[in-house]
Amino acid sequence: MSAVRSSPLHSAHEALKPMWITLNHMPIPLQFVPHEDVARQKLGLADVSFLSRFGVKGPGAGDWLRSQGVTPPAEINHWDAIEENGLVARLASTEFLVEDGLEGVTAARLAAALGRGLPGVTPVFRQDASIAITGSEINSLLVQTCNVNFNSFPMNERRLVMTSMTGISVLVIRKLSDGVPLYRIWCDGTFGACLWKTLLQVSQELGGAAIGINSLYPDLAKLKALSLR
Amino acid sequence: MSKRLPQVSGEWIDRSQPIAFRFEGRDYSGFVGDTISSALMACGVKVMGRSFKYHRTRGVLSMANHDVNVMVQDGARLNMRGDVTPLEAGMDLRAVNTFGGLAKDKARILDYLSAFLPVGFYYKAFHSPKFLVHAWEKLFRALTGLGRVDFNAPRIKTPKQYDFTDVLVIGSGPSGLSAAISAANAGAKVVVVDEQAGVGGWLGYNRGGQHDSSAILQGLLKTIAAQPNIDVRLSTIASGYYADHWVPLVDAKRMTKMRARAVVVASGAYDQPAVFRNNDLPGIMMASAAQRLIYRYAVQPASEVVVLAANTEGYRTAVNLHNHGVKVVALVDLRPEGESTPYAGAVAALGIDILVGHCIYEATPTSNNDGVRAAVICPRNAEGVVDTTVQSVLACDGIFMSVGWAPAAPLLYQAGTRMRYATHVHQFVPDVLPAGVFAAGRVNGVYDLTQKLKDGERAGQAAAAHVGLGSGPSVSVAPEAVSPSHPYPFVDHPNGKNFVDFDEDLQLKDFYNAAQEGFDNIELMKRFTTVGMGPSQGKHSNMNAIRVLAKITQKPIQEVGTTTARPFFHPVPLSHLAGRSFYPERLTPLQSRHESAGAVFMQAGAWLRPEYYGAAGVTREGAIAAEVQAVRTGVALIDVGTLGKMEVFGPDAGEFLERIYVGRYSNMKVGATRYAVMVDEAGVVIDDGVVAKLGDNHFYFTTTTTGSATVYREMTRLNTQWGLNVGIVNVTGSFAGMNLAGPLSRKVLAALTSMDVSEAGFPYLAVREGDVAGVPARLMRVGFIGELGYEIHIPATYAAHVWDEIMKAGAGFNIRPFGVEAQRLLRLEKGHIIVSQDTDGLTSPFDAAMSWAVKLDKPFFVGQRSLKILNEKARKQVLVGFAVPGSYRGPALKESHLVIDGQRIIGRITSVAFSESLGHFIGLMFIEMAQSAVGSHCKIRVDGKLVEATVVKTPFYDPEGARQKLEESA
Repeated sequence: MSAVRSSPLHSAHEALKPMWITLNHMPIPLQFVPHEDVARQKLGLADVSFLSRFGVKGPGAGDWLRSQGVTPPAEINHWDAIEENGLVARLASTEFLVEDGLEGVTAARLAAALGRGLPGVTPVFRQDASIAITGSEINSLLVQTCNVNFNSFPMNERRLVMTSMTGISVLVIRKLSDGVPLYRIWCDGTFGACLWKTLLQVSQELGGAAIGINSLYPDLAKLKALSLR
Repeated sequence: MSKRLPQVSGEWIDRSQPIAFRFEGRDYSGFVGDTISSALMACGVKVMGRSFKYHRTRGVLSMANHDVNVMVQDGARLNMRGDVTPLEAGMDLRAVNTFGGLAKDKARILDYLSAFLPVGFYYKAFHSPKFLVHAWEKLFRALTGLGRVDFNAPRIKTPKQYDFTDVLVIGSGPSGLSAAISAANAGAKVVVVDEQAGVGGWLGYNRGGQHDSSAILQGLLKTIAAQPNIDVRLSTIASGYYADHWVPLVDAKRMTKMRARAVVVASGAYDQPAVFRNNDLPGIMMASAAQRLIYRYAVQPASEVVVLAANTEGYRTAVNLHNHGVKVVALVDLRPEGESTPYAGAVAALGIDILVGHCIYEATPTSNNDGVRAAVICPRNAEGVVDTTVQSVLACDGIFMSVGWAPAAPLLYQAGTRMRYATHVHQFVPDVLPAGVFAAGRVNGVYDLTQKLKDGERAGQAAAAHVGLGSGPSVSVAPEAVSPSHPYPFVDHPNGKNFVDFDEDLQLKDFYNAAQEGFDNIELMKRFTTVGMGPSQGKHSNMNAIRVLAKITQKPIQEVGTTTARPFFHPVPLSHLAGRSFYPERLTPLQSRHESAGAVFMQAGAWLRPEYYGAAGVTREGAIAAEVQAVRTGVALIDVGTLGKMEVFGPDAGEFLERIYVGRYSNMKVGATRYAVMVDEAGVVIDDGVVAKLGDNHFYFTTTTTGSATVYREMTRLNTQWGLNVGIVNVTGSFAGMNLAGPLSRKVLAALTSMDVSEAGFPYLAVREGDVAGVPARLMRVGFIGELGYEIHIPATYAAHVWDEIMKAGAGFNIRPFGVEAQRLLRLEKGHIIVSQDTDGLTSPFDAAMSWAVKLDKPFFVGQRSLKILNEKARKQVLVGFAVPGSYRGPALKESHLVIDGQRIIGRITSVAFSESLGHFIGLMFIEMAQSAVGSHCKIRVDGKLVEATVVKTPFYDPEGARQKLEESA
C-alpha cells in the first residue's frame, strides 16, 4: 500500500483546481493558472509544505548537528544554507530546524540517525505548513498581517523572525530569489489552512495570487523526475 | 442665493467637477473638494442641524471637526461630520436628531421648556419619584441618540495595517512641516499626518498677516517635495497615543498602527468660542471657520458681520473678510487695552469701527431662529463687568469670534506629558515631555509665525537626535509677547442660552448650578454636567469649562487641572476598529473528510470539531443516537486529533512525569499506558490524559483539547526550575489522532496492519508502535467510551490517507464517523469525567471521586502538599453518578440544574444525557457528602419542578468493563 501524504493546505487548494504534482509523497500544486511568473514577481503565494524537515533540541543539539555535518548558525534567530539549497535555522540557543531543498535528503538522514534521541539531544517531530511568498508587493501584504518591521534589517542578514501573522505563531525568513524578494513562513500545520486563506485573501486584494511550485522551480523536467522518486 | 466667491488662490475645490446632492429632501450642488458644510454654505444654507438637548437650530461653528453642529446621515452612513466630510455625488443627506425634518423638527419645543430641563435633569429623573423611572426611560430613549442605525447595512471590512517610521509628525501646519524638514535633513525617515484634506494648516487660510503665508507654505512644500524621506498623509487622524510611540492613524479606508521611534506633536490649537447669549445661532462661528470657508472652499461666510476679538487673529480676520467683500460692521475687542500691533491701524484704515473694551452682550435671532439679526454690544471693564445700561445694536447676519485657543493636546496627555498653565499665553503647555515625544507650535504655546517655524525646526532636530541622527536642537524660540487667548471670554445674561458646550447644550448657569450642588471639582463637574462628553470630546468646551470652574471656586486654573484624556480622542468608526477578522482557527488534517461526511461543527477552543454528522431527514438527536448505536454495536471512527499530544525524552523522563502528574509512572513498563491527572499547586484538577511508555527514556502522552498549550508552557517552566535531563516536545499539531471504536473495530484494524491486534497480543491499556495502512503509527487501547477501541496516532500529513483506508476497510461493517456529542454520551455511560465540565476551579481529585488516581506517598509532585492537607479535611461535596427513573417523561435535564433539599441547594448537575442503552437519564452531579451514598435519593429542580433522582454507582454501562476487553469481536 502506497501511503499518500497531504499538505496541511491541500483542501484550501482544491477549490482553485490546480495542476498537481506529487513530491515527497505529497500532492502539491504545480500550477494554478498559466503564466504565474507575473504573480511571482508581484505577489505570489506557494505551498512548499512538501519539503522535508527535521527538528532537534536540547543542550547537545548543536554539537550533535555538527557531528552530523550540519553547521548551525552561531547566533540565535538566524539561519544558514546547507547542501542542496536546504537551510538550518537556530530557533533558540538549543533548538534547531533543518529543511531540505528540493533535492535534499539531509532531514531524513538526521531523523534516522537520531531515532528516539540521545541524552541532551531530543528529536522534534515537525509537520509544518510552509508557505513561500514572493514578489515586489510583499510588504503591502505583511503590513496588513504582521507587526514586524522586516525592513529594519538587511535582506542578506539571514535573520529568522518568530512572530505572529494574522494571529498565528510563525517563523519567517527572507531572501532574494532570482532578484525577487522571497519570504518563507512556517506554522503549525493545524493553523496552516487558516493562515493560507487569510494571506491569499489579502494578497488577492493587492493583485496577488496563489502560484504553483513550478513558479519557484522552473525546471519542470526535474520536478517530474523527482515526483517519481 | 449662492455664496460662492470668485476663484480664491489656493482653494481646495475643483470647479470643473460639479456634484449634485440632496439635503433634507432638496437638491443642491457643490464641487469636488467641497465638504458637506461648505457646499451647503455656498448654496446659502445656514441651518444644518439641531442641537442635542434643546433642538436649537445650528450652523457651522468650527469648520474643523471641533464641534458637531453639522451632523448628517446618508443612508447607512450615520453621524457624518459635515464640516470635514468630503461631498460625494448622489449623497442624500438628512440632519440627525430631528423629528419630522430639520425645518419642522417637532422637538424644537424643548427649547421653550429648557427651564424645566436643567443640568443633571437625567440623573434626578431616574432618582425619584421611582414610579416615573420607566416612563422617563421610555421618553429619554425616544428623544436621545444621534442617527439611525440601519441593521441591514453591509459589513465593511476595513483592513488594518502596521507601519514604521523614525519620526512621526502630527500636524502639517507651519511648525509640523518645519519639524518634518529638519528631522528629514538630519537623516530621519519622517511621516507627517494631518486630519485635514489639504496641507499647511493655518498657513493656508490665515492670510492677513505681515508674512506672506502662502509664499511660506509654497516654500515649505517645495522643500518637502525635494526630500524623499518625508511622507505626507492627509485626511489622516492620529487618534490616540499608546506606549512606545504607537499611534493609530485613521483614514477613510483603514487604521494604520504606526510605530514611530519619536513623535512630534504639532497638532495646533482649537479655536474657542466666546460665551454670550445666543452664541449658538447659525451665522455665529469661529473666525478660523470663516477663513477656512473663504480660502479653502471660496465661500462667503456672511454678508455683514461683527468680529468679536481678543487677539491679533481677530484683526487679521477682519482684514481678510473685508478683502473678500464681507462688510465688517465693527470689531469688538474684549480687551480694555485693545490691539497693540499694527493690525489695529490696518483695520481702522479699512473704515471698520473698533470697539475696545466691549463685548457682545447677546445676539438677536431672526424671527424664525434661523440666523442672527443683530449683535447687542456693551462696554466691559478689565474685571469683566458688563455695563448693560450702555447698549448699541449692530445689524448683522454673522458674528465671528476670535477670543482664544485651547491646545490640541490630548495626544500629549495620553503620552504622559505633564502640562502647566502658562499665564503668558493663557493656555496649558507641555511642562515635562516623555522621552521621544516633542511638541511644537500652538500646542506648545507658540503663536507667532516666525517662532512657530523655529519651534518646529527645534522639535524636528530634537526628534532626529532622539533616534540617533543629527546633533540636536540648534535654534531657540522666543516666548509670546501678548497672550493670544482671553482668560475669561464669558458674558453672563439673566436669560441664559449662553452656551459653553454646544454638543450637550450646556449654558453658563449650568456650571454654577453644578458647583452649587457640590460638583465643584473638574472630574465631578464633567460627569454631572456632561461637559466634554459629547461627540466633540470637549474640543471647544473643556478649556472654557475649566475657566468657569476656576472662576466659581476662585482657584488658579493650574489648581483646577484638566480631565483625563483617553484614546481615542476623536471618534473612530467601529468598522475601523473591527477591521478584518483575524480569528485563528485550528483544523485537524481530517477537516475535509468531516465536511464531505456532512459534519455539523462546533468550536472547541481554537479548534473546529464535528459535533455530529447530519443527514437529510435526520434530527440532531437522531443522528447522535445512531452514532452511539454504531459504537455500541458495530464500529465507528472519531477524529481525536485535537487532543494535546506531548513527548518527553531523556533519562529523567519518568521522574519528570512523577512530578507533573498525581499518579505513578516510574514503574510503568514499555508498551503500557496509564491514566494521568494533573493538578495545580492548590490541588485543583487542571488537566488529564493518557501516558504511554514507548521506550525506556521515551513517553508519549495526551492532554485535554484546550489544555495543550498551557500544559506545555507549565511543564517547560517547571523543568527550568527542576533541571531534569529531559526534552519536552509539543507535538499536538504534528500527530493526527483517531479512535476506531466498537466491537467490530478489531476486525477493521486487522485488515490494515501487520501488528498482532488480538486481545492477547495487544491487551486493554497497552500501547503499540507499528503500521496502519502503510503509515507508521502509535496505537493505544483506551477505554474512554467503554467499548473495544484503538486510538491511532499518526503523522498529521498521513491522516487523510489513514482515515480513508479505515473507512474503506470498515465499509463492509457499516462503519461510520461519530462526533463529539456521541462521544460525550458514551463516556458518560462509562462515568468518565471531562475536566472543566465535571470539574471547576476548586475541584480536587478527591472531590471528583478520583482518590484512586492520587499517589500521595510519592516523594513529590505538583500540588502534593495541598492534596495532603485537603485529604485530612472533611469534604463538603463529591462528584457522584445519578439516575432518573425510566418512567420520567418531563422536560430534559440539563447541566447546571440544581439539586434541592427543602430550601437548600445541595448540589448541581455537571453532565447529563438520556441514555438509549439504559433507557433513562443518567448524569454526574456534585452533591453534599451527607447525600452522596449510593442509593440516596435527591430532588433536581427542572424548569421549576422537582424531579426525583437516585445516587448510583458508576460506570452506568458495562460496570465490569468487559466490553473493552472483548476476546473476539461480535
